[in-house]
Amino acid sequence: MSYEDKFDSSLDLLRRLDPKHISLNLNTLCSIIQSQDSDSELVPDLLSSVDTPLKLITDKSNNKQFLSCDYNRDGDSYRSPWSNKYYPSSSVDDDELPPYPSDDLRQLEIKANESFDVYRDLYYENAGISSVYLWDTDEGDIPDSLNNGFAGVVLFKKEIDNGEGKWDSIHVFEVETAGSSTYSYKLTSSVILDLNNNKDLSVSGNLTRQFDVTKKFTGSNDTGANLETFHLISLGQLVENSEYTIRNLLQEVYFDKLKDIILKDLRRFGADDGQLQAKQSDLIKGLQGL
Amino acid sequence: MSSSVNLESLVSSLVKSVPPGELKGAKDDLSTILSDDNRLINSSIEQYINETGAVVSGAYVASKYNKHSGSSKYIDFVGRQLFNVDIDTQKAIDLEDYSPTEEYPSYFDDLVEQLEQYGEDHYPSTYAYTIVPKGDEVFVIIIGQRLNNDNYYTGQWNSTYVIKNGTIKGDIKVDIHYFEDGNVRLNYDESTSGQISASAKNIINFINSSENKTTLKIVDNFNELNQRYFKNLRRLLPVTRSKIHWGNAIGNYRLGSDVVNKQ
Repeated sequence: MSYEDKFDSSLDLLRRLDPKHISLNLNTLCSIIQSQDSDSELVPDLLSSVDTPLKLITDKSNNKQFLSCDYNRDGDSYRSPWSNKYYPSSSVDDDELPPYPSDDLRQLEIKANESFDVYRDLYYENAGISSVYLWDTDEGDIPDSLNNGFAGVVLFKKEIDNGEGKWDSIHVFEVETAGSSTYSYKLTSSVILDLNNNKDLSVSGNLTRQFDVTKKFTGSNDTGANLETFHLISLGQLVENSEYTIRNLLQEVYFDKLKDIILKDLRRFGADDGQLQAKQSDLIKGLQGL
Repeated sequence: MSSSVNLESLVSSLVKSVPPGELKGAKDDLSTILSDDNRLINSSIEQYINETGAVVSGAYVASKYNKHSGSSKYIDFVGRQLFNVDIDTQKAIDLEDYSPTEEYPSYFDDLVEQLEQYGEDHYPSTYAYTIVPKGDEVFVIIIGQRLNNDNYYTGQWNSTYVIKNGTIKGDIKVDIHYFEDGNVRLNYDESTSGQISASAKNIINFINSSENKTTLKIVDNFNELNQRYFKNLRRLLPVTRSKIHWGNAIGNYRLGSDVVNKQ
């Protein structure tokens, strides 16, 4: 079997298995692959292509927490968006420096972290953690990323009530030039949502959607906005719209679709369904009261 | 040797969470990943069928309760025959006549008739049931299944009841997999029990009322998950009810901290 066949089958299998245990299933699958071929490139490739719930790390320089993912990782260390330092710090003998964004991009990264932190307060009710990481895609010696394009990821994580609700959102984007002063923003958003009542019902999983938008930077027309602010506004609106859409989809799938499958496809209540109707209309009233 | 035992336990821990009705797809994936080590995969799948139960040919139930001890086959006590499970076609194969040595309860034939009717009344998709007499216990297994791959979902309702000395206990499991541009899984697990004087009619009444109660409870639980947990996890819009004004002035949301902090 070729590498591609195995890679595709691995992803297909992970899309079938219970998403509540995605991290464990991914590790188990990697152990199986390693037992067949200990040097397999499949393992790192799978680890970087499958979204798992984000992990928290503490930035020791200011005791603030940040989120880790493959995009701020270097070996076993992760870069903090708050101090731009790696934790745990990489070994001193290592001559090669871990990757950092170029100076201009780091300035944008600092502002993006501030902006999405405000966003987090407004949408996640002053709870949870956000982190934004940017990296250069311009291959010049001194990257001119704001003008020529760059890439990044916006992350949010929130847990409530003893793990009865867990939300992880992962927004990976790429900014490219698309003609003079025109930029195309391509975003892939995944939300991992785990809900359970710690008793008998658990609904868990992830949905992924792609969004893109092309915008022209008109400089002075944007009331003094420079290119940096232009990118910040474009990315902010794109991520905000994407989370709005996915949250509505999650509401639809988790609460309407799954319930319909039970009531219409699996087991019908029967002719005398007055009680069921009453509950259903209570539910609708409850939703309208939001 | 120890590494192959270890590999086997790794494979079965993955197979354990395959959605009901997607065994064939999972088997094909594993077969590619393991370069056709089918012996290992088949033993994990057999273990899965015994633990979780499976429907074959749209009508037969295979599970640990009706496993034939002397062969790879399963016993159909209703049709008095043995069968093997073919995972690739989801069919019962190698059917042969069989005379069970277990003693059947007096209400067996009536219960078969009632379960047929019950399926027609309540299970709109694939419906399979079986009755398994075992010593002083009688097991009733009901599976309702819908495999709707065109609309990206598969689901199964699986209830198991055991009747013994005037008591009946039930375990109801619902497992749904939704996979359009994602992977969402619902799991519901509920136990029920009661006293009963064993007759076909009493058994069906108990089953019907338990399953209706469970349905109502699931609707309540959905409501709770939605109102208590989902709603508070991430707001649909900020308290201001409008989207954010992005840009250099975004910090103003913090200055007017009443906007941010007002719940």
